[in-house]
Amino acid sequence: MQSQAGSTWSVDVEGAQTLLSKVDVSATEMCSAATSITGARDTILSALSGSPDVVGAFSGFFDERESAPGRIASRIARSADAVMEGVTAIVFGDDEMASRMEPGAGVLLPGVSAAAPGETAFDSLRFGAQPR
Amino acid sequence: MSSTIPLLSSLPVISIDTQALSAGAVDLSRRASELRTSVDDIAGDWNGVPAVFAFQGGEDTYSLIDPAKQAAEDYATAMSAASVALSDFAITIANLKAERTALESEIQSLNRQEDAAERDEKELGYSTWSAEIAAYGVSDRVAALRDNLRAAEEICVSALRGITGGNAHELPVFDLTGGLLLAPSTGTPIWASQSDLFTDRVGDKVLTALDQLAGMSQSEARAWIAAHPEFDDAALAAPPPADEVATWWFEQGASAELASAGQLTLIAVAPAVVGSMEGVGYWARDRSNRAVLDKAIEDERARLEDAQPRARVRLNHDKLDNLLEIQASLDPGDNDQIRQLTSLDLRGRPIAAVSVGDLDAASHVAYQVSGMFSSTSGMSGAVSDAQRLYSEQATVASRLGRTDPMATVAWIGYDSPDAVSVVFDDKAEAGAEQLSMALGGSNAVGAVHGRDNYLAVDAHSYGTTVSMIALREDLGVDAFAMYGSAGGVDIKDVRELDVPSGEVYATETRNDPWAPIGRFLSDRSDPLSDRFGASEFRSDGGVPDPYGGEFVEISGHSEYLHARSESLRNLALINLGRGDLVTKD
Repeated sequence: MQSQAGSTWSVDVEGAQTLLSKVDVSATEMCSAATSITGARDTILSALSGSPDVVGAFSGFFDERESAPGRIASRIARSADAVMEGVTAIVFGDDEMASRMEPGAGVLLPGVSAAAPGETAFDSLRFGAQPR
Repeated sequence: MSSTIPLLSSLPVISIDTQALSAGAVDLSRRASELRTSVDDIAGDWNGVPAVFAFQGGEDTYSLIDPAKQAAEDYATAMSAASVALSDFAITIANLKAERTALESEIQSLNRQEDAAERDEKELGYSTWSAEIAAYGVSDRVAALRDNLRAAEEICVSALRGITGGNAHELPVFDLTGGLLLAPSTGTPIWASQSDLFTDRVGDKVLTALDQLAGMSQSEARAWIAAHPEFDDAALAAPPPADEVATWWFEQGASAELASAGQLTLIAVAPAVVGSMEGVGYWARDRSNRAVLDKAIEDERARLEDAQPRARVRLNHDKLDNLLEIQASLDPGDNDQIRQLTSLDLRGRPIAAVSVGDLDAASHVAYQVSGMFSSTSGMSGAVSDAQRLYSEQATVASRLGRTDPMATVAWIGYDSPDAVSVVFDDKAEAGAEQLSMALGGSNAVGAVHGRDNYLAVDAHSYGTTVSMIALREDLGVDAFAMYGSAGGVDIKDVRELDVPSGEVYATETRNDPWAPIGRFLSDRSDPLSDRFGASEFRSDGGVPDPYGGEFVEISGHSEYLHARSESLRNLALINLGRGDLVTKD
């Protein structure tokens, strides 16, 4: 962990790498589970083929939620991306980073745009802003 | 009577596979639960964010995962509810199928009775009456079966339609280049390693920063480094790819003699980065690492002197001893070959690599991967071994009429195990990663100099375990020799190693107790087994040396690189690409 003298920044690149590695392990398992769920759906639909009404209801139920694992994974990936951007911005402290600093109001991370003055960097994620 | 027996065709068709449905429903719930658990684990990992990334106003970072966690919870709950509905439906349907089977049987029985009665009118009477009553009962049950089937379907449909939530529509799908893919047909997510993306991203930034630093004056560069205290750690944790570094470095200046002002600036202001970065010219790494070593010795001495008056217990001098040992190992003594401190990592217990010979110029490079108990406290011994191997290679080369520039590297580039931890594989996994990077650097530097180096790995003891893990991948290694092997992890055959066919060698002396014990306790594979398929070479000695005299006899786990030993000669031959000349039983 390093911290910028006289500032409130602190960052640990190796620690961030380790953390992201752990996220990778669990997220890979999550995606594997999502694939298995699709397999379970196929099994169920095949087993139900003699009951069109139930097939219709289950298909409707599943279709409504089919994108959920992707949305959850997307959120996780976007969150990881925000940490990556934040860490690299702090470590390398480039001009872009400096221009995005607003004392006391947080850092506007590259690629995460605030919707209005005063919003913090993560409002777009917190409130589910429009996809980039 | 015939009017009251229901037709078989009046039985509802129930073609639902209840067993498959039950299994699918259970699987649906279990997998959704696994998904939720995985996201919970991520949320748990995310609790570590404040420790690795913090800045004023950025606290929202710590809760970024929370919506995903909630969405996964809702999703799993919905799937579980669907699973219950489907399981209940499967049970009901199974019962209805049993009822249908029973009814089918009873209808057939009634039909048989009717047929018999029609054949023999004498039978008319009480029994026909009784059958007619039974037929009415069956008709009622057929109707009930039909109703129950319809009701079961309606209950299931209603239950499924009544489930709310779990669609995660509140979470937008971001367009994440390289971060995540969604399978086109199903939308199933395909995860891309974020840690790899991070490493790539930081690596790119490191190289860009180094390039910019090289264009600054030394004072400007020092000021930048002072203002970015995290830079060194970032460069060490996520270095750019060796081939990219090598190309960039070579363009800055091809050798020590042609060094640019920018290269000298980098060595002066960021020696820890330059010294550790694979792909940088070894002359610069040597110069940088020596500067880092000198500074570390100075700092450690100061620390100990400062602590001495207050110390109530004997101060630990291990680190200073190791640093001094590394320093001592760099003295070539009476030998002509230069020595380069090609790597130095002081983040934990000091680890280092020292070459005998100029790695920038060598076309034949041999890495000696050390084994159990090795540490930089024994760096002089390891470098002496490398020196003996170099000298033996020079002798062999002379006999063969070869003049190839050579280098041997004493590589203590990982945290080696002791007698207890040697049975575990974690240090080997970590060491393999480090070795892969070191070999990648060697190849990259050779390539920018226009050479395809002959690269050999000689590994001892646990070093063979490290190397076998690394050599599963193509690292450009031309020959691999193992002596006193602690065994391979999940490797049973030389064909699992990405080394040219016939160029994997192994030996073990008669009296090496540690190697077989290590393999036995860890259940690792023996490279000398017939199944493994390595080429065995002799190491015992006590037989005539084709160059004159006799090889000395060796025994034990640590004499393989003894002067005038048979194993030393054979390793020299292998390292020069003449494994066909090794002595065999």
